[in-house]
Amino acid sequence: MASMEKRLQKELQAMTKDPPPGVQVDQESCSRVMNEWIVDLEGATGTLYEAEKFQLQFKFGSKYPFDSPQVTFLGPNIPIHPHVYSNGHICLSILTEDWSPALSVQSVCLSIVSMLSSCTEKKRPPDNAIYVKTCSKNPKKTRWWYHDDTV
Amino acid sequence: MAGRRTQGLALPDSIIVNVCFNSQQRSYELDRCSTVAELRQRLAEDYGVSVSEMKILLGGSLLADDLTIEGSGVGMESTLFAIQRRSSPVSLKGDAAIFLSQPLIATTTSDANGSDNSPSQTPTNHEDSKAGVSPHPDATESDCSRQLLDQYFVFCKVCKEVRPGRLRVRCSVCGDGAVLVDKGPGSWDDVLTPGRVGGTCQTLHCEQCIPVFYFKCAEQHQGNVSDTVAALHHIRPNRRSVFCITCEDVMSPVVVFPCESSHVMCLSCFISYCTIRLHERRFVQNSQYGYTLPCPAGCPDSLIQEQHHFSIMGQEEYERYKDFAAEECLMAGGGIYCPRLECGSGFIVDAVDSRVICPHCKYVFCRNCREAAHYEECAPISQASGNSQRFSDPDRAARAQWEKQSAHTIHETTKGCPGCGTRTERDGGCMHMKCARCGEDWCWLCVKLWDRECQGAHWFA
Repeated sequence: MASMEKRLQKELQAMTKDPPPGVQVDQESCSRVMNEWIVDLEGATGTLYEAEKFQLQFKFGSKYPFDSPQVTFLGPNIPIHPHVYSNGHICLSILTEDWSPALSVQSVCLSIVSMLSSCTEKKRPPDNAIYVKTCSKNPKKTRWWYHDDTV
Repeated sequence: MAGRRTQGLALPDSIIVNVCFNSQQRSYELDRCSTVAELRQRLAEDYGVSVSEMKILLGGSLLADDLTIEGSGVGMESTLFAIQRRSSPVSLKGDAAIFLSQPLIATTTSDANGSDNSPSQTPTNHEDSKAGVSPHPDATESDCSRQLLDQYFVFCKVCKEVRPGRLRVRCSVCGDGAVLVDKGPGSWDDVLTPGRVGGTCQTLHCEQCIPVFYFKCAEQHQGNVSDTVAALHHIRPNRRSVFCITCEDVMSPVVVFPCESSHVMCLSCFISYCTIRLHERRFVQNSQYGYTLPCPAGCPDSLIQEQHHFSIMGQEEYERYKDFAAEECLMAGGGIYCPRLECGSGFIVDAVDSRVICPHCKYVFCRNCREAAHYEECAPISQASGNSQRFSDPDRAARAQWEKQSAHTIHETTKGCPGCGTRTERDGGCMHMKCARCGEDWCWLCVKLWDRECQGAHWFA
């Protein structure tokens, strides 16, 4: 869908020109394929994640922005947080049932920074161990959770 | 006055209008820049009425003398109504700028001109065609005023797309358009609710009248096409150059959601938004507005209030929309469908008994498994509809096999929602299912309600 690419280009332009604090798009990743972005995040000052660096991976389907992007943490440093599984999956409602085409890469990044900032204790989700264990058995089958996968 | 004959081709700076006087219609060729006063003069001469008593009505209002034909909103093939009145209780200003500042109409003379009507196709039938010579209208100004006049939008079934619409009025009793309204409608309620704006029918011997507003497509359609089209009141010209909430382009016209922030979406994004939501069956059923969608930003009180807006998706999707809407409405009222292939009627069931009789075809079936009524437990689907076709003719038997095969495929590829039993296909994603029918969260593996254990053990497995 052409509207997806047009919208992504506009978002990329805005994010490059006027990036929100602590958020930076990896230009190289976008130049390879438009529908996969890497975004560098930095933990906000005065929080448990201060000065820590993270990477987010965004994958956009052809229905974007009417359908949510797949967003996961990537790379060596996955934040230790009650809503982030150690394989990078994030439990955040705007990435699933609360997604709206009025949201954007920028608003997702800001929500994630804010989710990290409001954390008071660094720990994994309670079901992390078993979840990651079952996932690692079959990594290729692991897909992101769409709430609306009933067609 | 010098007649200006056009030798087969109408000049681009003139238009043809129909004028109705005492239920008789005549065509006139008018210069776009001539004034309403000049037209009154001509009509007065033609009909032998004094100029001061000759008035011209369009869309329920008298046209002011100083308006030009173009500025009054008269378009190619517009129908004007000439009436004879001793005095005029209504004073009007023909100020097109009034449309700029107001979201709704102040006068009813908005009449976008379909300027791309080909004048050469229009029959030049006018014994009495006379027009003064006027300078050629300034093109930029003309485009600009035309844009201002595109106040209303309709979905035209002939054009199969959103078009500028023209507001018209007719008499509720005789159906004639020679109606003088007491005041211009000030809101959509005034337009959509007959009786809110009073008026008088100018047709002879017709006294009781409630003006009825209606819309027509700004394009002229040949043949016997119904004049009335549905007004899309959430669609507006984007005079304020607001960005689309989705693609961030500035387009016009746009859909303006009825939320407090009045979020704006361009038509192309609105079509995608509706189509994708429809395919996911994620419209919402509302008791007041039916099967509809909210503002994509999730604002409260933002539902699209009129279903014809969804016709923008195109006929095929709109038909699907209507099917879904009817189904949701029936289901919301506790209704079910007759499972018999030839029937499929929807109806409301009062009794709690599992045996249901279709009121239409009298088929008796089990409410739970949708097979023919039975007294035992419901049979598994592969055994149901067994070999009752033994004595049928070969065609019937073949068809039954086909249907059986289809039922078998459905059974193989789908699972029933543990909440409502709706057969559900999983085409990817995780094990967490959300029922599109009843909203239940359930596990594809366990076929039971989704819980923390499923999330821990096999969420993505």
